[in-house]
Amino acid sequence: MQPSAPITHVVASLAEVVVAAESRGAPDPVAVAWVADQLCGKIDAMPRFLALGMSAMTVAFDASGALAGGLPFHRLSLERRIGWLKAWRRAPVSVLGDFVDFYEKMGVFTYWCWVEEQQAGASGH
Amino acid sequence: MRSERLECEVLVIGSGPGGATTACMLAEQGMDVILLEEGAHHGVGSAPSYSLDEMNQKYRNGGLTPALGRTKVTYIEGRCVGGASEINAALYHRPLATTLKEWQLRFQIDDFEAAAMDRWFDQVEAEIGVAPQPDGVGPASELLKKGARKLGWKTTEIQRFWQYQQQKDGSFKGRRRSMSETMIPRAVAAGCRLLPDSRVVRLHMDGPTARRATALRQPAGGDATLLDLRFQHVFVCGGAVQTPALLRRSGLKRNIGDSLRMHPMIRIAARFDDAFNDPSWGVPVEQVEEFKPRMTLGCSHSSLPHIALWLAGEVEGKLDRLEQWQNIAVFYVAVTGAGTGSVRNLPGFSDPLVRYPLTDEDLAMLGEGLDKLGRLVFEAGAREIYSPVDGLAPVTHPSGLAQYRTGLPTRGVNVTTIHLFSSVPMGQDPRRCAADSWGQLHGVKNVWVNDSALLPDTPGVNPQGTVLAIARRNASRFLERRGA
Repeated sequence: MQPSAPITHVVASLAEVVVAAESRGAPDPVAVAWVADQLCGKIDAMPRFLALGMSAMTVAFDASGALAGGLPFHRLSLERRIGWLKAWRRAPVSVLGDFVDFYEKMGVFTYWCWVEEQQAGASGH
Repeated sequence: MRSERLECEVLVIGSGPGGATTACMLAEQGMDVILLEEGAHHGVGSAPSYSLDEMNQKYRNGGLTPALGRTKVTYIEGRCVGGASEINAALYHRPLATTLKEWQLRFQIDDFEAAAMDRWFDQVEAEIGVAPQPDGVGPASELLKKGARKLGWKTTEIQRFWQYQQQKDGSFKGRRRSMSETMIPRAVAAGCRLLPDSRVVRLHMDGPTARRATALRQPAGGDATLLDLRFQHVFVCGGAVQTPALLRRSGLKRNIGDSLRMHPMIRIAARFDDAFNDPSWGVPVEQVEEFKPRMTLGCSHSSLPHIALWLAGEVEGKLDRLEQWQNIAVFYVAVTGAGTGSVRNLPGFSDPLVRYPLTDEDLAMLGEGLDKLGRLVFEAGAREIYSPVDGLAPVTHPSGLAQYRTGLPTRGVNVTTIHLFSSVPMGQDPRRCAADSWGQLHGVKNVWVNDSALLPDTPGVNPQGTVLAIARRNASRFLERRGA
């Protein structure tokens, strides 16, 4: 089983947070799905010992959503998820910051790759 | 699972600059060579440079891998036919003569002074081809030159492993001179058997002699084949991480994987008043010479996704800035790392664990470099800098980076590298070197290393030219000893 298999729903909810931050209006669901798929692919391509750790941390992160709003992270409202991810980014424990770093940075990069591709398609290049 | 037995005179593991050079030179002298490559065969042009598709196709782990330590350093490895030569900036340098001399003395390397090495660099330039950009250095490089000129810092245009042809409209079209375009086709034409999608699990040692190798071949979407490879000699050329990992898996551990060195790097994005950034120019070729080999300042590939990466986090007005992304470019400082890392295998896992402790000296050099980089781009006309330190608001004046002159923090800073070496250092001193002056492992009869792992210390310049020249030198020596 791929390391991302148990966490695709959490990755999708994280992708929506990242895409929302990069969008002027509501996040485009097509973009969100694409970014989520790319993030899962990146996790599966990691060295296995890191991928398993990332998967486990993602499960723990999802559970921690209960502290933010009484529900797993992936079931919180978008606004609550945005706030909870910010809280983890500022946590004093470096591994939590690294966790957020991966989703944010890789999510941002892949989202803008998608935007660039859309723009190229629209202009006929 | 299917199994297959293959025999050859020389097995070359890894098809990057070192492996491709070795395979080509030996095959062209009539030796029976198999060139094994873990990655797939994509070729130049299979995906746009620095795109997500290219990362997914040609980078190990689909992108960045972390070297663990108190400050994480993320690094890139190529994993495809041609290795790193297919994805890097293709910048060409000869190392400083003083660097070669220092290595020769410290590590007791025979025939290694600049005069002896010149012929190998000459051959690299002639056979692979390096060239300046024929139509100027491009707008990002011009900005770097402008800033450096105002500070009185010397800059140089760096040549690339690139070939240009003039088109009918007078413009120039360039193509990367990677291993898949140069040494590998020559090797195959000379009879070398290229096996992509094949990962060597281990070498099987019989005392001081490697008898065979076990590999797993698995093309994408295809069935796996277990390969039993028999050879007389083996060259391990998997790079500074995979070479020591394989040797250690095979029971060869003395001075192997203990001395990983790198050029740690940080980047900033800088915004200017006017649009200038055009990624079609490729990686900007101008570098600040003033502080080499200790420190190099230059420009990076600056497409929209890469710029967005540096504005990630909580930059106010980020989306407005990204709409004018052509006013922004990414600049870097790379330093000769002071730290020493390690490569180790983990039981039950196929990927090695890489550790690199960024020392206080590394952080000090990077902080000094960040300060210099900031001064440079502001002198060039930048209005705002987005820095690699988490939580730092955009900087609008050089004084905003002065706090880092004495060093970067250990946390919350984005450090990367694309240059790794020295994990199987060469030299006659068996107490500190893993391989002799010519890449043969000490105490082992028929195992050679011929890649960046051999460089005994940081070269302080883009390393591909040095790796190619040393690989050529060592392969030539191997042929001489065999009477070819």
